[in-house]
Amino acid sequence: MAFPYRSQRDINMSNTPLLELSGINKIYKMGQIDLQVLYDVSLHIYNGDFVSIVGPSGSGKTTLLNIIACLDRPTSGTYNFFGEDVGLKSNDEMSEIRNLRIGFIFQSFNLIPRHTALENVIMPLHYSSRFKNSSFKDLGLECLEKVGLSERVGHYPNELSGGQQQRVAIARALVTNPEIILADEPTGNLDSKTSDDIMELLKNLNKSGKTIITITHDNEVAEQASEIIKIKDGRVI
Amino acid sequence: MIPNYILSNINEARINLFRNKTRTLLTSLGIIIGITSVIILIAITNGARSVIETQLTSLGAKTIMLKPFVRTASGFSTGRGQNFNENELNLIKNLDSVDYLAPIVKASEEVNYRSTSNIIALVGTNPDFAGINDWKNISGSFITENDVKDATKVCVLGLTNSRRFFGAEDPIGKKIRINGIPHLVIGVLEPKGLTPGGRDQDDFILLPYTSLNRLLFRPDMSNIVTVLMSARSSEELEYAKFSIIKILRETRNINPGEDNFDISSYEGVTKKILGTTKILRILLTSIASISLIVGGIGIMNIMLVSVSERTKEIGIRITIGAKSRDIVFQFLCESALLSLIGGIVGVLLGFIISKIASTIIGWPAIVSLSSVFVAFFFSGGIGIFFGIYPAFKASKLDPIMAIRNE
Ligand SMILES: Nc1ncnc2c1ncn2[C@@H]1O[C@H](COP(=O)(O)OP(=O)(O)O)[C@@H](O)[C@H]1O
Ligand SMILES: [Mg+2]
Repeated sequence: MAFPYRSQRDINMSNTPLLELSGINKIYKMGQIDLQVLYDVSLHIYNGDFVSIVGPSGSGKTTLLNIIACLDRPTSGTYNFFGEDVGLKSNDEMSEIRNLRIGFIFQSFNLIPRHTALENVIMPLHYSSRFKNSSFKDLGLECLEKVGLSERVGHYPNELSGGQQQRVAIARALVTNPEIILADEPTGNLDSKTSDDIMELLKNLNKSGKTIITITHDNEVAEQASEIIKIKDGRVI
Repeated sequence: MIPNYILSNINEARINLFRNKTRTLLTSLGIIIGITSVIILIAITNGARSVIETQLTSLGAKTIMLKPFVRTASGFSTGRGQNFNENELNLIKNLDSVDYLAPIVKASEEVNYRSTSNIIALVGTNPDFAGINDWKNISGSFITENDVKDATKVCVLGLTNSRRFFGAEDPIGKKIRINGIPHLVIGVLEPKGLTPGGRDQDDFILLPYTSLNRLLFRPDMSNIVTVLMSARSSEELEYAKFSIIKILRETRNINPGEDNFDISSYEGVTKKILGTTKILRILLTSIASISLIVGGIGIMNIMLVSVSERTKEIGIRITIGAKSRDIVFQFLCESALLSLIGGIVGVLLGFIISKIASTIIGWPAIVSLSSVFVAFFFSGGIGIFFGIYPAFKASKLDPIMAIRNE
């Protein structure tokens, strides 16, 4: 799979970006010292993109993704999410964006251990008034089926393999039917066979219309993306 | 939608609390002790109240007592006051506001019938006695005015004495000997049973007071320890008392402050005793509240521990879209449930201990439904109040930092 994967963007030929970052700087204040992690980052991400963010450890990839995810605010610069300035949004409005429009996938899966696979998957639904309680179970089962885990619905995370846990996390990311999926090194804790399966899953999601942004160390993984953003020392290169 | 949201949060809280049963139980210990004591205290003061109330109702809220004693400001009797004479009693009896008037003479003498012999409490009185204390006959008749006027040798038995001397036999028309002198039994009284304190209210024999005084070789009007009167209604009680005092002061030609008689009514006593139990209740409840506050602080402490243990989980929840109020609500549910568990255990313990204590000390314990509600309300409220700070702390966590927490 050395050839670049063609994303939906090429097919859609859309011109208005979903996400638009311009002149983003991020500075952490550490006592007396200011630590600048991102320098003047500008990015456009379009509907249907499959973007890979690559770069050495400590270069600021996660920091950038957190800003894109509406989890963190930049020190300066503007970020337009679906045409709206995130800088003007309250914390609760940002929570709502994360709940309904973004799905999260982490390196360490981040499932809640005392809850079953299904309960973990439907957790985001509790935080929105958009979904009826009676529909939770069906929506959860549907997403677990999409990731091929229909057989493991009642299992707890510690009863699942790493790959299976990551599938549960992907099902959770899909449950509110968001437009965007963000993944921070989703295959970092998995063996290469399982990594391929997870990447295949992400590609299929992209085919079905999701915009995907994933951080990766793995060049082979990065090459499967339609677009690669390289970061070094907090700058896009 | 909203009830489901609450239910799922309560379920979440239940899962968390039952995961660590020992810790949950130890944490709610303060609440358990507090609620247990609240329940016991309310049960016992309610019991005391009911004892006092039944005693007082059996005495009658319209009843006025007149005694020939002098009471000083400090409340002590100082020797004997002046005996009542027939004229005074007639004047009082003629008051519109007074229905009944019964002089009481008391003695304890030997009574025997055939081979049974016993020292029995004798009460000398007149026909009005039945009206004041609401005594009814189960057989025979009561003392009449003529019996009093002629000092006839008749008597009316309390049920205990009817059984003691006659067993299953009908005592009416039989003669018992009081101090060796034969008295005709003319009636038996309906039983009143035991007082809550365990005293037998039916163990006495009634005689005309004139007859009892003659039996003891005393003048008719002597030895009257109490004059019982009944106001026409409880509204007229105060007016009746005022009129009685006026009559006695006029006939005895004495000024206010020199009274050589003592007048009282149960109404005042009722208020005083009930007032005392109220003070007791307030005092005891405040002691219980202290243990509840200590319990609340324990809950706050464990909730803070719980928040820091679950930092990562909170981070995940915020990341996937939980708003501040969702996190606050989740932790408030947990602290309220924790405290309510303590409340439920406390109510059960309080109920059991009250019942055991009441059988041991022979004092009724009344666990009222309202005290159970108060207990739940309080324990839930304490859980919420002391859960506020930890819950807000949880909701203010930075999800990026929290999710890194292991
Ligand atoms: N909350 C923070 N406070 C201070 N420095 C931070 C914080 N988060 C990240 N950093 C620093 O910012 C730099 C970039 O981190 P990160 O975005 O996680 O890099 P990457 O994901 O590319 O490995 C690192 O040097 C890291 O130590
Ligand atoms: Mg990183």
